[in-house]
Amino acid sequence: MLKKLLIAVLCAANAFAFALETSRIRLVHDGKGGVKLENLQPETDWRHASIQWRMTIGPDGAPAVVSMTPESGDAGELRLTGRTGKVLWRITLRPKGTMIEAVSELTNLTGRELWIEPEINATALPAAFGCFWDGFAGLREIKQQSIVRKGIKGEQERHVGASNMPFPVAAAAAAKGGVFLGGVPFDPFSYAAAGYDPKEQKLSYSIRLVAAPGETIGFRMTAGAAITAYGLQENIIQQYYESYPECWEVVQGQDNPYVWGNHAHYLNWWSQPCAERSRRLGITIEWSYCPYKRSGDMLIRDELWDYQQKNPFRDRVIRFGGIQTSFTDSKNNNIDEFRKLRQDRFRELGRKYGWMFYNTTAGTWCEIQLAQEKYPDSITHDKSVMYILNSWSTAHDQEIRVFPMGTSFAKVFEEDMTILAKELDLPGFALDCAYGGAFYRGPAVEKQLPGRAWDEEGKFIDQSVAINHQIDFIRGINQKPDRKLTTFINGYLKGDYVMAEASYLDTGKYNRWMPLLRWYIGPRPGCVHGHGYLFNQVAPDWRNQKPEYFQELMPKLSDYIIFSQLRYGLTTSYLTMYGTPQQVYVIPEILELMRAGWQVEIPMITEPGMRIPFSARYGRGVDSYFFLGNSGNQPVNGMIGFDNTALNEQGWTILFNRKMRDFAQIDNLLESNFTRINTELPSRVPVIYEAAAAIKKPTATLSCRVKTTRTLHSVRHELAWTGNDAFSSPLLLRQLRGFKLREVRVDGKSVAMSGGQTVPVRIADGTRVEIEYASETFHVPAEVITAFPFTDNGGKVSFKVMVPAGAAQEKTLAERFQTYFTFCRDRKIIVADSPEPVIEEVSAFNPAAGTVSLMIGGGTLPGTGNVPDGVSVSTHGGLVVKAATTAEADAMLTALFNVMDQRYEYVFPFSWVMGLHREVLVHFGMFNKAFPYQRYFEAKQ
Amino acid sequence: MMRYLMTGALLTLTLSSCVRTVDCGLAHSSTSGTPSIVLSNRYLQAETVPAALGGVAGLRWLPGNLEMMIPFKYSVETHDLIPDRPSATVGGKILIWGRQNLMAQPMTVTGTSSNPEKCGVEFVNPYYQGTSWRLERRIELERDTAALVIEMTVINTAAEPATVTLWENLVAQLDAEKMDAVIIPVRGQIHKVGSRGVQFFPEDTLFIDDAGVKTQVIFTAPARNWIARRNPKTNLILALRTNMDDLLPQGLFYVWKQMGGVIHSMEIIFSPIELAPGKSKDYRLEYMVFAGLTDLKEICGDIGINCEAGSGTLDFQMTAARKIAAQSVTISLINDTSGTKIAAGSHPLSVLMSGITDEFSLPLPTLPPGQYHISGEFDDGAIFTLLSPKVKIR
Repeated sequence: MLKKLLIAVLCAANAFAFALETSRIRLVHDGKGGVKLENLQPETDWRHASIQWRMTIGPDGAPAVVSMTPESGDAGELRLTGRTGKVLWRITLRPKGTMIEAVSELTNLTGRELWIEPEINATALPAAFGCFWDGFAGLREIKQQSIVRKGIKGEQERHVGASNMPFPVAAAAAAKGGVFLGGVPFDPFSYAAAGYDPKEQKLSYSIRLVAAPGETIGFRMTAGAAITAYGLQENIIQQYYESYPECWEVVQGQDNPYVWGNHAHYLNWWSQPCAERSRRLGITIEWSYCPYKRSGDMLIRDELWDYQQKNPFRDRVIRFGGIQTSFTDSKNNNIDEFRKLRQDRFRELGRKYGWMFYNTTAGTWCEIQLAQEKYPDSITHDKSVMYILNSWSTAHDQEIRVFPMGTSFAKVFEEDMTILAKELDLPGFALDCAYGGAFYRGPAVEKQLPGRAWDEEGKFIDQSVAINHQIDFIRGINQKPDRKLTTFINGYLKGDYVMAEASYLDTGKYNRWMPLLRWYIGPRPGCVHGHGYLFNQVAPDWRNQKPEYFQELMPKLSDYIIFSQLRYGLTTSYLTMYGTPQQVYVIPEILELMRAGWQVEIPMITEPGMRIPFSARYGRGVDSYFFLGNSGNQPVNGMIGFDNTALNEQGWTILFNRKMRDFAQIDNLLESNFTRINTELPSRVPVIYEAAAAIKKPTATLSCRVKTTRTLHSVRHELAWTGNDAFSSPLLLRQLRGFKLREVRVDGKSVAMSGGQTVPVRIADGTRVEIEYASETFHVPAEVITAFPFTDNGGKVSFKVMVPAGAAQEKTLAERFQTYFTFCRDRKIIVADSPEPVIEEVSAFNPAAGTVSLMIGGGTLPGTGNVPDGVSVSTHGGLVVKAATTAEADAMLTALFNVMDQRYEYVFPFSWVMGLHREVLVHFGMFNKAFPYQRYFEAKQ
Repeated sequence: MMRYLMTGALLTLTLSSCVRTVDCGLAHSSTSGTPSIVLSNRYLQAETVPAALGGVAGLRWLPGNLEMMIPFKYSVETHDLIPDRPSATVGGKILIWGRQNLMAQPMTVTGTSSNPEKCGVEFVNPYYQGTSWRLERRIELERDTAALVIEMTVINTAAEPATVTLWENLVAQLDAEKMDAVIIPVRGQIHKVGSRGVQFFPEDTLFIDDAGVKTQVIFTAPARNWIARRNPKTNLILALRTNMDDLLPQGLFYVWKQMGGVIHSMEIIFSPIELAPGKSKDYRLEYMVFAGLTDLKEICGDIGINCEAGSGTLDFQMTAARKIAAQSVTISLINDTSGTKIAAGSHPLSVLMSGITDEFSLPLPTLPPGQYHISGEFDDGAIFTLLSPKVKIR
C-alpha cells in the first residue's frame, strides 16, 4: 500500500531529480542517468542500491547497459527512455503497493526479428548479503560463485507431465532484509532468469522476448525491499499479494456462488446429486470430468463422432450426475442421445451444483489422430516432458499435447467453449493440469503472440502463457457480472478456485509441492482432491489392529486434516468428512477464513519454548485472522504477539479476540507495534484469533479486554480499557459479511461513523466501547428458529409453507422445505411416516403459528410492506422468509436450513469412500457409524 | 569363425577362476540410514532393504563396478497426528497393480542363509501393501551366477476369494547419464489385454523403447517371458525374467520413462490371479546380467543371445548367466509362410559363463524369396526362435 508518493523535481544546474516512494522503498533518479533504490524500512542491513537496465540481443549477444534518459511524467510516475541501435525501451516507473513497478514498452527498431533479453539489476549491494532466492521454494547460500536460475522449468510432476515454475522474482538478503526484483505473476512470459553475482554484488532479473520488426512489446518488472523477520520469501510474496491483489481476484468476487465452498469430488457428478447432502457438506462446486467422447472435440461434431481408435486403452463410462453412458456399445454410442443427455443434465443441474465443464485438460491434450489430422500446427513438440498421453484424460484413446493459443486448435477450442457455455448454460470450466513447463515451438510461434521467448533451440511459448490466456478468454465469454464464468483449475496458474491434487495425508506430495504451489494459489479459494484418508498407506498394518487402534487413530487423522485445511486455506471433501463430524462442524470457520483470503506472511512472535506446529494467517488489517494449531498431546500456553505494522500500512493497532460462535473474551496488551495476548492452545483444538476493531495507538502501552458476544442475529464487541492514560483515536470497524454495523457507543453514548470508522473518540482508563452488528438475514435468534414447530412431538412434519398464489418462484423455493424434510425422513432424523410439508398458495398474508411464509420481491401480499427482508417471526409465531430476489431468497433458505440443522442434526456416518474401504470399516466395526465431535468453537457447550 | 571373448575386467577373474571360484556371502549393512542385507558372489552384489518392501536397493556388477539400480533413498517423516511415514526410492520391488502402493512398508526378515554355494534372505509381510495378501519373498544368489533370483509366494488371508495382480516395478539404469533402451518382446495384433488397451504392433517383434520414442508410458502384450535393457556405454544387458505362465493370459510389460531425463523403468504386470481363501501362488523372477552382449534378442535357458543379420551372414553373440557346458548350436531359418525349415549351420560353443561371450558368424544359405525367422537348437534340446531380426529374401 502506498504510504506516500513524492515526486520532486529539483532543478539544479542542468540536472533534475525524481523520486518515487512507497512505504518501504524510494526510487530516486539523480538526473544524470543514475537510478537508486533507497530502503526506507528502519530495521535493515542495506540502505542503497543502484538500478541498471541492460539488454541482450540474442542469441549470441552480450548484456549491455542501456542508458536511460528521464522524461517528464504524469503525477506519480517517472518515465525513462533508453535506446540502442536496435530497440527503443520506454519505462514508466510508478509506485505499486509497497513496490516500484516498471512498465516497459520495447520497440524493435530494425527490419528483422529480434531475440532480446531485457534485464533489471540492482548493484552495489552490501557484501553482507548471504542468501539468494531464485523463485523456487528454497533459499540458496551466496558463496563466491555466481548463481543463476535460467528459464522457468522446475521439477516435473509425473502425473501432469509438466513442471512447477518459480515465482517470478530474484532476491538477495542479509540477516534483516533484502532487495528483490521480479516480474508480475501470471504475466505472459516464457523465460525468466534470476541471478546473483557476488563479485559485482549484483542481483538481476530478466525475461526473454521475441520482437517482430517494428513490434512493440509490453511487460512489467518490479523492485522492492523486503524484511526477513517473518521469512524473506514470505515477506516478498506478501508484498505481491498486497501490491497486485488483482492477480488473485476471483470472478464475481465474494458473491461467486461456486468458489466459497467445498468441492464435491465427483459426488455430484458420478452419482445423482443430493441437494441436502451438498448443503450440509458445504459443497458448491464440482469437477465435471471429460463430458465428451474425444479429447479435443468438446462440442461433439457429427463428422468426428465415429472413428477408428488408434490406441484405446480402457472402456469409457461417463456419468452425468448418476446417469451413465458409454461409447463401447451401439446402444449408448449415439451422438444425438449423448448430446441431448449432456445438455439436459447440464441445464438441469450444472448451475445448481457448480458443474465445471472439464475442457479437454485446459486445451492442452487432444486425441492424437484428431490433432494430427485437423490441428497439426497445434502440436506441442516438447519432448522433455510428456508428449503422448497413454492412460488418461478420456481413457478412450491416445492423446497428444497441443497448444491452445494462436493455433488452429485454439480457434476451435475457444469457439467450442463459447458455444458450450451458452448451450449448456455452464457455470464455468474445469482446467486440469494448469501447469507450465511444456514449450510450444510450432508454426504459431511465428505470430505476434504474447509470451514468445527464445533459447538455444529457437523460439517458443510456454504452455502456461496459453492457459492463462484461456482463463482470460473464459472470463470474457459472459459479460454480465453475475454471469461471468468461473474457472476451477488444477495447478498454479490463473483461475478462481484452485485444486491441489493430493490428499492432505499424501505428505510426500505436500513436501514436494509446498510452499511454492501455495504461494501461487495465494488468497484464492481452493480445495484438495485426493484419496481422502489413504488409509492403506497411512496404516498399512491395520489388519493386525484392534478397534481401539482405529478409535485412536482416526480422530487424529481427522484433526490433521482440519489443521491442514486451516494451515493451507484449502478445503477437504466428503471423503474425509464421513464418520468424522468434527470436519463438518468446522466448515463454517474454514469457509469464513478462506473467504478472508489466505496470506503467506504470518507476522506473529511467540514466547520461547512454545511449540505450534500449525499456523496460518488470513485477511489483512482489521479483517485479520490467525490460526494456531497445537497438534501435540499437551496444552501449550504462552504469550504471543501479532505485528500490527505487518498487518496494515496505515498505522492501526488491532484488537483481537478468540473466534468463537457464542462468546469469547481476551485481554489485549498493545505494546510497541504488537498486540500481545496470552494464549492457551489445547491439544488438537484449532484456535483462531480474529480482529475485532482497531485504533491509532499512542506510544504508551495499553491494555484492553475484548469481549465478544455472537448470536445468529447479532454480534457485539465490548472493549474495556484499563490502566491507561487518556488518548484520542478513531475506531476502525470491521465489515462483517451478512451483518450491518448498527451502532458504536463509547461509555454508553453513540458516536458518529463514516467510511468504516468512527470519529476520534476519547479513551481513558475505564472507558467502555460497544460495537454492535445486526444480521442482514436473521432478525431472530437461533433458539426461536430451532424451537419453531417444524415437527410435532411425535417427530412428524407439522408446518405449512405459504406462498403467494401463482408465484412460481416462491413455490419452487418452497419445495426446498420438502427436500429438507425428505432428507431428514430418509436419514431417520424424523419419523419414517412423517408427511412432507404442505405448500399452500395464499392470497393474504397470514403468518400464523406453524406456518412459514415465503415471499420474493417485497410486498407481494397485502400487509407485508413493513416486513423486513430476511428471516423473522410474526407476532403470531409464524416464520417469515422475505427476500428481494430469488437468488437472495435461495441463499436465505440455505442459511435458514443451516440453523435448522442444529435441531435436525445429521451425522454422516462412515461409508465406503476412496481412501477408506469398506473392509477397513468392517474390520473395525465402524461401518455406518461415526465418531463423536467436540463443539470447540462454542464457549457454552 | 569362432571367437571367444572375455570382457577385459573379467579376464583376470576368469583366469583365476580356473583354479578357484568365489564363495557366496551375506553381510548385514545399512544404506541411507536403514538396515540392509547384502548378498554377493563373484559377479553380483545385491543389497536388499527390509524396511523398503525387501526391495533390491542395490545391484552392482562387480567386474565392472557398475551399480545398476537407481540410487536408494530412505527417510521417515514424523508428525504428531499421523503414524510415521517412511518413504523410499528403491530400484527393484514388487507392488500390487491397481492400488496406491507404499514404497517403504517394512518386511520381517524370517531367515538368512549363507554358504559357499548359495546365500539368501527371506522376508514376509502378512498384509502386504495394507491388503489381505500375505507376501513371502526370498532373494537368492548362487555361486558363479550372474542372476539374482527372487521368489515370491502370495497367500490370500481373506475370508473371501480375491484377485491379485502382482507388479514388478524395476527401475534400473546401466548409465546414470544417458537413458538406457528397453528391449520389449511384444505380441502382435493385440489391441487389448483384459480391459486395458496396449500399444498395437502388427506382428510379434522386439520393440525398442528408447529416448527417441516420445510416449512416456507404454503397455504391451508380452511375447516372451523377459524384458531387458541395454546401453552402448556398458556392453552389458540387464534382463528381467519370469515364467511365461504367469504372464498369461493378461500379463503386461509396462515401461515409464522420464522425458528429458534418464529414468526408464522396465516392469512386469503379472496376469491377475484369483485365489480362494488360504490358497497361495508362487512367482519367480530373475535379474539376469549378460556381460559382453551389445544387444539381446532372446534368452534361451540361461543363455543370452544376440544376433544380427549381416550381408550374407548371421552374426551371433552368446553368453550365459549361469555356467553352461560346451555344446553345439544348430541354426535354421523358418519360412514365415510355408513353415519350411532350412539349415544354416552348426557351431560348437565353448563353455559359456558370465563374461565369456562366444561370437560366431554363419553364412546365410541360399533361400527362396520370403521372410524367415531365425531359429536355433542346442545339443541339450533347448530351442529358440528369434522375434528379431528376420531375414527377408526378395
